[in-house]
Amino acid sequence: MSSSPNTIRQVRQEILVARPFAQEFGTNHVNIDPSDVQALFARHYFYFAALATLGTLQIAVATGGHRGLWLTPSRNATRLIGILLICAGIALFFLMPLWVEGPWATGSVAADSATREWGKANWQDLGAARNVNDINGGLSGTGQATWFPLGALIAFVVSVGAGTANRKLFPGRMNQPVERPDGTDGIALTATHSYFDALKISWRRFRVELPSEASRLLALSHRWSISVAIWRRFHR
Amino acid sequence: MNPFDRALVLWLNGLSGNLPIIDDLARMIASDYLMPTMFSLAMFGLWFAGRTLEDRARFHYWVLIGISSIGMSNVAVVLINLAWDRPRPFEQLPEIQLMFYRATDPSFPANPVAIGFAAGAAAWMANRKFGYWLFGAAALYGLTRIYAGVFFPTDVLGGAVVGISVTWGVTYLHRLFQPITNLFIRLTRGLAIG
Repeated sequence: MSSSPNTIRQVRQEILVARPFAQEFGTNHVNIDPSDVQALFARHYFYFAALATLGTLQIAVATGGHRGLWLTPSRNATRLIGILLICAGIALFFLMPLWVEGPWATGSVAADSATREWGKANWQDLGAARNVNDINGGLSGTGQATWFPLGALIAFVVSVGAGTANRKLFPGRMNQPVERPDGTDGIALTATHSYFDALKISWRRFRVELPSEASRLLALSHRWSISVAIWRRFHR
Repeated sequence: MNPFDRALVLWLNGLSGNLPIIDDLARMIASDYLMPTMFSLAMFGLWFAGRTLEDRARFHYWVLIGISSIGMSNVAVVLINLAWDRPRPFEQLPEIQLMFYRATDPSFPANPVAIGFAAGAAAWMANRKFGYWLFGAAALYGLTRIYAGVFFPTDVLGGAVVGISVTWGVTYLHRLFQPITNLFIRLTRGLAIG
């Protein structure tokens, strides 16, 4: 077993010791506040998530035939745009250090993210530029779990807007027969309706069917179900 | 440290430093952002991908299981970390050429791999082919982390076992919460997003 640090506390202590030492010897990484780094990473990750979720959504809805959410009236074009958007999201996120200042200044991008300097990266440092520990301001899993759904929400809103606009701008093309998803409510309706019309119809149906659907699902529930146990207790 | 771990991590990490483009690619794949986002995108895409009612119902169910499994895998990894604080390869082997930041949490099991395999197991239940792709992506993620010198091979194997086991456990535990999950899926249909 090595005597190297293996606990969070030990490594943090090393960073705290390393910073004043580096300051004395003229490096400026001590000026980097982890919260600044985190804000920068969060913003960039949000762009990445929004573009990549929009791309994924477009591929999924093009495959599923949900026309009311397509960015273009053509299935193939929508699918191609989806692939390009995912690639654009990844490229933007990893190439941004070339033109945006951050904790990846040329020459400071060593493996250890505690000794970074603020500035723009060069091509040689690009691969490692984003590898910043969350204790030094990198985005944690929780941070990603916050920004990803927000990106997904934006992607959905954009798709609804584009799909609705397409219906108005290209009514002929949007009503051409396609391989339609089956189902008479929910997202399946977007094959033949705008999202808002699909929402109106689906919601009305959900409200009407909810009592019978709830009883049916309760009856079909597994015997381990907590809900079933509570239901039985109060309906003896 | 077992000889298998030592030999394999030294061999894989020893391959680094020869081709800068491979090193850069490995650093990007091993990053905290690319593959976890791909796993999330896979779950997101699967939700909307079904063409038939039956497909959609199955995909929605397994996406919910997948998301829950990703969360529960994190919990399982933290619990194992409390029991065993295994040092990282770069802390134990001075020959390691570290290509990643000095990770501060315990090495076993590989948390990101556990998440990848949890998502992969759920996707595999929804669609075998898609699941195999995700398993492949999670394995590649683990491999690049060994290449970068931050995980031992057994950490990656442990992560895979944790991810798959947690998904299996969550599938069983899900029975406790019926019919709430099914009603939630029905609600998403009412909102025209499912």
